Amino acid sequence: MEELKYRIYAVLAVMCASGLVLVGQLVRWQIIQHNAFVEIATAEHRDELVIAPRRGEMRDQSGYLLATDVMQYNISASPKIISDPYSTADRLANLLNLSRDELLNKLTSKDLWVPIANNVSQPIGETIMKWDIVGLKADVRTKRMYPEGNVASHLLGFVNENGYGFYGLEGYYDGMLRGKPGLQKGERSPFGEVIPWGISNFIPPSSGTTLHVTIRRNVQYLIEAELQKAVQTYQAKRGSVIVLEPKTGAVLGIASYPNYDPNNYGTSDENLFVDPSVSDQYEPGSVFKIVTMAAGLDANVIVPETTIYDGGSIEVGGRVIYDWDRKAHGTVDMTTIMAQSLNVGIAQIAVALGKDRFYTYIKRFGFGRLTEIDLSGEGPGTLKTPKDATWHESDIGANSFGQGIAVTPMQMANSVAAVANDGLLMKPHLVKRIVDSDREVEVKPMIVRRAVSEKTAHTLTDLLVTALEQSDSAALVPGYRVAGKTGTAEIPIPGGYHPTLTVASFVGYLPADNPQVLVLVIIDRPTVSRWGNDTAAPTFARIAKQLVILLDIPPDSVQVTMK
Amino acid sequence: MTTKIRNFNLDYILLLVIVALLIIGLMMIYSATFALGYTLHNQPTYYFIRQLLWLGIGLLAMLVFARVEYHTWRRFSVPLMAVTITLMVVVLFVGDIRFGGQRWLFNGSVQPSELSKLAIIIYIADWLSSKGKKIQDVNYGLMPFAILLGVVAGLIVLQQDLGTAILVVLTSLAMFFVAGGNLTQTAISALFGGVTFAVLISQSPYRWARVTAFLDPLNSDPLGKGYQIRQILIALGSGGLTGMGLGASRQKFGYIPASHTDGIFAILGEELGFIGCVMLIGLFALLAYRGARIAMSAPDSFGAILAFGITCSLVIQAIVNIGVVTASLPFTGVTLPFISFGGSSLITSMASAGLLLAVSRRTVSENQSSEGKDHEINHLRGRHWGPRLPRLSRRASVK
Repeated sequence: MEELKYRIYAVLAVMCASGLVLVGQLVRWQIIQHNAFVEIATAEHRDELVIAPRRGEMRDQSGYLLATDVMQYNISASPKIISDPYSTADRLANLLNLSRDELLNKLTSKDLWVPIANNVSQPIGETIMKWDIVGLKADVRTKRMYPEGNVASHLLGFVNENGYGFYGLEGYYDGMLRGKPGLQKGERSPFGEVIPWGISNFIPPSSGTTLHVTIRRNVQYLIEAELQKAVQTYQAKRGSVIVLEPKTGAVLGIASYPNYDPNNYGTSDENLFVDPSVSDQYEPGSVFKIVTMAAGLDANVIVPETTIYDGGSIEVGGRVIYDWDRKAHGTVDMTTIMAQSLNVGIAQIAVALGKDRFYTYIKRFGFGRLTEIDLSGEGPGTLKTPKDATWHESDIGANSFGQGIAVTPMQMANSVAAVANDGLLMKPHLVKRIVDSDREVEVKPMIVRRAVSEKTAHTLTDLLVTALEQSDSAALVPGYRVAGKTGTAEIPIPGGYHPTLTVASFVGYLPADNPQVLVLVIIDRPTVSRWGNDTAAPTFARIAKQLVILLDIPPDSVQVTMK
Repeated sequence: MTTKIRNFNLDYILLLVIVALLIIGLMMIYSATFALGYTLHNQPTYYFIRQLLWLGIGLLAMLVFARVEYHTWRRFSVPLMAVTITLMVVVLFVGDIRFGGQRWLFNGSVQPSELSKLAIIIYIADWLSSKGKKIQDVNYGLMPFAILLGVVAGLIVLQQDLGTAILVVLTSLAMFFVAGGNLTQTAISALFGGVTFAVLISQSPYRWARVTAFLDPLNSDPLGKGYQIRQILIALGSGGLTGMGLGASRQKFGYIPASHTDGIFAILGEELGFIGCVMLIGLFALLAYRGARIAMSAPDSFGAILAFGITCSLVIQAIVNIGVVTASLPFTGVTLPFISFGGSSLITSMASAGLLLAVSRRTVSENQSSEGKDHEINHLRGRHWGPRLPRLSRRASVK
């Protein structure tokens, strides 16, 4: 029996040796290489999840929602761990209106992961979450929603898949609207479940700023409807309308047609994304005579009663200028020049001002530079001054009635608004109130500079009212004195001007004694009639007649009795 | 006759070791499975409750084996072996294929190769103890032993359970050696067995891949064949000296496949650290020591060989399992006795422990002379338990 003991001891010795080897291995992995493994483990378990912040909303002056984030779900499945693909396919088919066979194919496929449906609405996504089927996943994502669809599309812009804002307010205020993303640091299993006692660190996202814009939804809707009607009626290429509050520079409405639906910007023509009212330039034509007249009056070169001889043509800097009807109009006063829109007459005022004074006034009205409106992609227009090599003596004459100078619709509207605002040029703006999580900022109207004296502004307003009334303009609004001017600008093409196509426009404000609202209407390339008085002026009247109701602007008779 | 056989003299230290292992096992299983249970069955205690059930059955088996006079099993060693071999043949034809191996019966709840281990040990102990000194004779000892072992191991290999086959062969060789087998013969058989397994491994691509993964556990195919061992080492390694704390394992969240069965030692290492690992190894060492003591003080050679066979079976299985988890051995699916999740494994381990305890009850008091013991052994063998041999010549002589 002694031998049995020895043999047992021998086997025990081998076992002991094996055990020591195991302990040695444990020392190797757990003690010597411990730090290296901790590093590997940390790297393997690390999980950083960026939590997208909620993008700020945009609301109109009365609080109507113009843009907001909505929750959507992306539904996907891991076929391998779905226990009952048949009933799951049935339920999904009913809920999502998808083909049951196709779903079954996906749910029984060999793939580790299959997408089922993207961008499904919040209630549907939440229903699927409530089913709590292992292997079925509903990932929440936010989508930018524009409840009004096409309305105000140019003004709002859109947000792309990655949460970046483009064009309009979304583009201009992108940084503020976007907010700061949060970060969820933690440890995760290879299947993505959070390890509950893993290291975790949560930095909450901060939501973007909410913008309350100066736009009024009903004004916006009105001008868009009227603009669309006008572009279609006059068979024009496109058109723009800007509605300003002259006293503050607040934009009450801004529209261009054709427009697009920012909810589905992906399927829209990308040429429509740029807002023509701030980014595109055009030659303003006779509307610009307001600027020349204001300069003449303010510099005391003329008074309204000054008369000028119109012989039908005049040569300025080697170029002959004609009136629109190529006729001689004889001796005319300032009102007649505006009423009949006489190029020969207005050119003589510019010549009398001289190039220095004339261009100083043009610049004072904000031309040749940005209005600094809070919309993305604003253009400065094209203004040649005597300092530029391309400038020519003849440009004084052409510029006086809005040729050889290119402006943006916003520049044009804003410069005339200065006349309506007692000669003060305001900075046009679209945001009225900025609401953050911890503060609320009211945007104050900002004066850019004085363009002309108060007296000049009032004189010019009266002159414009009289001119419109004399010419029996289509822009007149019964019950209200309207100051304004039509324009029919030829379209520059290489080597001259297009023989037939024009940009027809009208800018006007009312009530003339206490201007509450200014409207610029631009009809680009109307074909039914090329004249501004036939197209833009009546459109202005239609819009203005409804605006005075929407904005509660009392007729002149009431205002007089109030005084 | 001065021999005094002490009945009801249970080895309480061994019992304590086994109870400690079972408690650690339950603790680790709950820790390793509550997340899995919640994910797959919406019930954190899903696996724990099942293991408790197996533990209940295991306790019953342990009690039965500890109470029954262990020589009783000797009487049934041949029919038990016959049933075992039949079952192993049956499972080849009707068994479920699970995890790449064909080793389950009755819808996956019974794994015959686990249960067969005990029957094989009883049979071999019976066979070897009946040989006495004749075991040194190649024709009488080694040859039939090798054939018997070859058939049994071959059947287990056919079930794609190489790990259990290796365990059975190693245990049998240790028993053969302890029973008095010639040292040279034992060495040659071990060599022969080693070559056979080496050939088997190199012939199977998936087994070979496990060997290559073993050679460079951290970098070879970290997303394929080397994935499991890499994740296991990450668990062990990040445990460090004192571990991350009970329950705090990260790797059990789906990183380690079968973290509650074959890989449970890795979770233990991650949560309880080097200290916990060494304590568990210490418990198995204590088990080996107590088992060896029981074998040495067994009243007869059957009891001695049986006790030591059981001890070897449990300890070698633990060594292989921990060897795999510490990347000291190529990957093979062997459970950790008393600790790993799984009914067959737990019940077999507990029944084995019961049998070991049964032998301990019949130990000869230590102050007995070896002479007296021999007398006793001879006495018992001659009176009640004739050797049973599946050999025609032997049967002829009995007649």
